Amino acid sequence: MTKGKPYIHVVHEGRSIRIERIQDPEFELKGYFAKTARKCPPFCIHPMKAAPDVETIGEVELFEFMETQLRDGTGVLIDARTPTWYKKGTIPGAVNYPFTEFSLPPEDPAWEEIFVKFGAKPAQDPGLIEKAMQGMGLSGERLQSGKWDFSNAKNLVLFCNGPACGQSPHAIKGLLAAGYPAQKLFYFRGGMQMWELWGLTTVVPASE
Amino acid sequence: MLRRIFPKKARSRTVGLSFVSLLVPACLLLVSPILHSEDAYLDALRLEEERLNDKESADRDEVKSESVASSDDQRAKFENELEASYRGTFLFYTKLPAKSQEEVFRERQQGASIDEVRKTIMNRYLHSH
Repeated sequence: MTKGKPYIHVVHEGRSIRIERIQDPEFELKGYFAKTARKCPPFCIHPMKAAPDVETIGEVELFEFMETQLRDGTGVLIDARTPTWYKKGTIPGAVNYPFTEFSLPPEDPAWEEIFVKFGAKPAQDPGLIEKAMQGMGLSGERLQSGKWDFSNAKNLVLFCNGPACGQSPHAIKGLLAAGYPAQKLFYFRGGMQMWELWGLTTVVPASE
Repeated sequence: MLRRIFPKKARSRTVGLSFVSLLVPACLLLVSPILHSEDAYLDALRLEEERLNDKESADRDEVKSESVASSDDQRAKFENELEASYRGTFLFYTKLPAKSQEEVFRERQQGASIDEVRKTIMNRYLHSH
């Protein structure tokens, strides 16, 4: 895959999956992700950034994320596509949160469940002592947004079908509008198309 | 005119109400293109999925017919080789029922030697008469 890293392992639905590239140098990509063009709109090429303060990452950064934050539970890899796309095959370690789940208005109570799942906590007044300590630089400032404290919230990497797919940018915008901090969101713009193009391992999720 | 019809207090309530009644449709007008665009996008995604499913099923059919064709080719090749090298055995083979011929071919495909196949042909022939 990269120099000194022929493969990595991730856990998907309780099974250890080895991610590597297809080793056949004659292998050619076929099917949907080999297509060069789609009708635009809606399948137009998206800009490098999904939102101003959200970092865009590539495959190598995703491998690193998988080996660190995904493994220790401080990060979540989100396949933001609708379930029928997800069921056709996804990146090992990904969980399906369709972008439509993040299209809710910021005041919708369903966000509470989503935020709790991602490790956010209801915000609390830090109190005088904590405020004083923060003022003196002895205590880190809490990452609060509205009613929520995102200090220990998970880093989320979102992806969809690739650079011409709007599903993950849409999900990112929804999360930002609801108050999820931009520095905890990452956009894997290459998505399934680049993942497949590199011949990297995919998994077909177990049907429910 | 308004002052004449409504007393001052009632008029301010009316103004408030009419403001709200204007604000609600305005908000709906603002939100509806967003909802509409998401619906349109979902429809486009669904259409793309359907196209993909049709293509996949067509590809599967193509693969299936290719594998049938390739199996037919192998069968013809086996029969030609048998005829060329063991004409007598081949004559017995041609007299076997189709089901037995298929079994013989499968046995060969599964790795049986030509001597084993010839033995099977003779056994089938002797037991079918």
